[in-house]
Amino acid sequence: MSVSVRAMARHPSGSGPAALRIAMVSLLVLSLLAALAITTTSAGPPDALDRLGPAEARAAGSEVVLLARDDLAPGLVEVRMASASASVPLELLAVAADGSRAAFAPRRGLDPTRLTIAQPDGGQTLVDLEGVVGAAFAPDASTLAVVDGSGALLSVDLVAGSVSTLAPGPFLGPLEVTGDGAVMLLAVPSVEAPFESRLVRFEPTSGALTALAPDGLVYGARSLDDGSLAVVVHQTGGGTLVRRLTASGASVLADLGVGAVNVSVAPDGRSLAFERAGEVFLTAPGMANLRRLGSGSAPQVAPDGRSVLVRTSEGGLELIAVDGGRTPIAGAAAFAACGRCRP
Amino acid sequence: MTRMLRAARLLAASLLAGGLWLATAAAVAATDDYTLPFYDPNVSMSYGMDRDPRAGVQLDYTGTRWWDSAPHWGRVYDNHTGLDFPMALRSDVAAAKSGIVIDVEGGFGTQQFGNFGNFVRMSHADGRHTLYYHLASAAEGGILHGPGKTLIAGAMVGRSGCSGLCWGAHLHFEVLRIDGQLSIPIDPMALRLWTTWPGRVPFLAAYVRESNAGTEVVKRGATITHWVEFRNIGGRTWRNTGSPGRIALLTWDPPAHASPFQAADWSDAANATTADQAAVAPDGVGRFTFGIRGGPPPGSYVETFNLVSISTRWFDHDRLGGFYIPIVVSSFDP
Repeated sequence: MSVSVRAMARHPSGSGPAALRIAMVSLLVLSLLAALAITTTSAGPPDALDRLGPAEARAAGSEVVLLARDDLAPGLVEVRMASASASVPLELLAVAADGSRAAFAPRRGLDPTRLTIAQPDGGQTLVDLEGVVGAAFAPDASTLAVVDGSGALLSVDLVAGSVSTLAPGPFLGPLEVTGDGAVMLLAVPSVEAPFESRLVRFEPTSGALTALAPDGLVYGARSLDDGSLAVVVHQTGGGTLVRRLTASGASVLADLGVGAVNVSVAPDGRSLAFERAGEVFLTAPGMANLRRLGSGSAPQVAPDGRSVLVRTSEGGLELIAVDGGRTPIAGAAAFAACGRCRP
Repeated sequence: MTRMLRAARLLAASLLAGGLWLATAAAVAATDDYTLPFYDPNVSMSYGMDRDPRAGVQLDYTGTRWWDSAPHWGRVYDNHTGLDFPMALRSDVAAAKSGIVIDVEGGFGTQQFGNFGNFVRMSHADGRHTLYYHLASAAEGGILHGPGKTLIAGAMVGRSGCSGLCWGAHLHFEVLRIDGQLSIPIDPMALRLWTTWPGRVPFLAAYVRESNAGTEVVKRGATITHWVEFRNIGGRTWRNTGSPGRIALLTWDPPAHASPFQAADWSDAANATTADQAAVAPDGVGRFTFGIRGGPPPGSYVETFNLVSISTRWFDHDRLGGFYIPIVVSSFDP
């Protein structure tokens, strides 16, 4: 997907001809690419990729169970440790579109960690990484794109059982792997302090990076069911805006104002959840039907917009329905639906 | 009692001044106009910037190259783009140089873990930007100013936190060189951008001596002259003109209270004086001379003073040895 002229025209610092701005963005991307290329000499793939069969996972006490919780919300997948005695906290990084696989680690961050990919048969693929900050499955769940603690983009091939470094970065998530194998993610100057972040598309076959939006600080993006992009953008001074980018132009999906962070957009683009000062809100495009759902953080809106998964102040998860009802979730959980990348 | 307090004050001032002097004994000529982005001189850098972009190779500010990716305390960790300063949550953060706030984010929780955190970004007259990252939430005072606000060097920009990719409260500080639309981190340590080497906090003073370290006795209605000297052990030059930023000696405890000892040379009831010298550079000694008028009825009093950068920041009064003057107002000529 390329950025339309109208989308470019919404760049807050741009007032000149669209072509000039396109050129500037291209230059920026080229510069980013050049900066990324500098680090390619010593960036290498992780050393280890191990596989545990279902019995081995059970024996190791690390077996996990993936539960489809459509009874609570469509597309909700809950991941639990199978053993009651295993209380290792799970940082759920990604769930496959069909809910059959999940990737998790003890914790996201820059420190070395072990990424686990739970398979449908109960087996596991284990990858030792120099930290992990984001991951996303390909639509067919055959590969997992991972951003490690150094910001490098890796690909875990779950069929071939191999790991490769696609680009040294630095990048940040959220990531999205599109149907053609490209990865949408954020190019940043540093993983620790991303005061700038550019939404880019990375083509694994050519190694090309393409800017998808002109904004200087993008907090996240997702593909929507209609083929457009919802892009969450920081505005100077702390405001947060959600743009909708299409092939023909750009529009404002919602202006969330100052203090709105951790925005989640439903795949149909009709519902948005966000957090402000420890409270979770649900709204529709144009800030219609804004409602406060209660305390929580890191909201994930359900595909049908009828509920929101939130992290509680105690560190647990709860599903909050639009009527305010709260349902605790025992394990880690996420929505499997991923917009147009669904098979 | 007064004498005991005074002796304790002098001892404390001597110890503090001595310790800090030792810590800054290696000071060399200034190279630029930056000071450390906080006020507590006990804060030190945990990790500096990696000047080698290669993964697994680190070049720290001393020029030492490390052929590994392990973090090296006090020096560097791999691909680190700034300087980390561990400090307690909600510690005051200072502008490293005069400039204008150009962008802020304060919506994340003070300790909210995630890919993004709270920050303040400033633009400076030298064309560079400074970045203050992982700050506390705006609701908890992490962000004090919006874009467009002009801040003088050493002014408070916000409070520290642990928002974003953070595992312990610290300030991540960057100096950025702007090249078109690119913001390129540069190393203020390697380039010695500080006003002194090593860098110092902006405002800090140590008591040196005064005209009368004992009790001042003044006849009621009369005025005597008192002076006190402080060594500038901060990073900023003290100037006795300009507002904001002028360094002045004001009443303290409570701050800037109207003093009954205001003399004719005071600029107002709380503001005793500025330094006698036009400028007191780091390591220099500034003398503050002012009158004490026997205004109140005869009796024994204590008046307490502190230095302040006008409209910017009070100095740490404890590090001034808790400076105060015992005063006896007499009915007779002393």
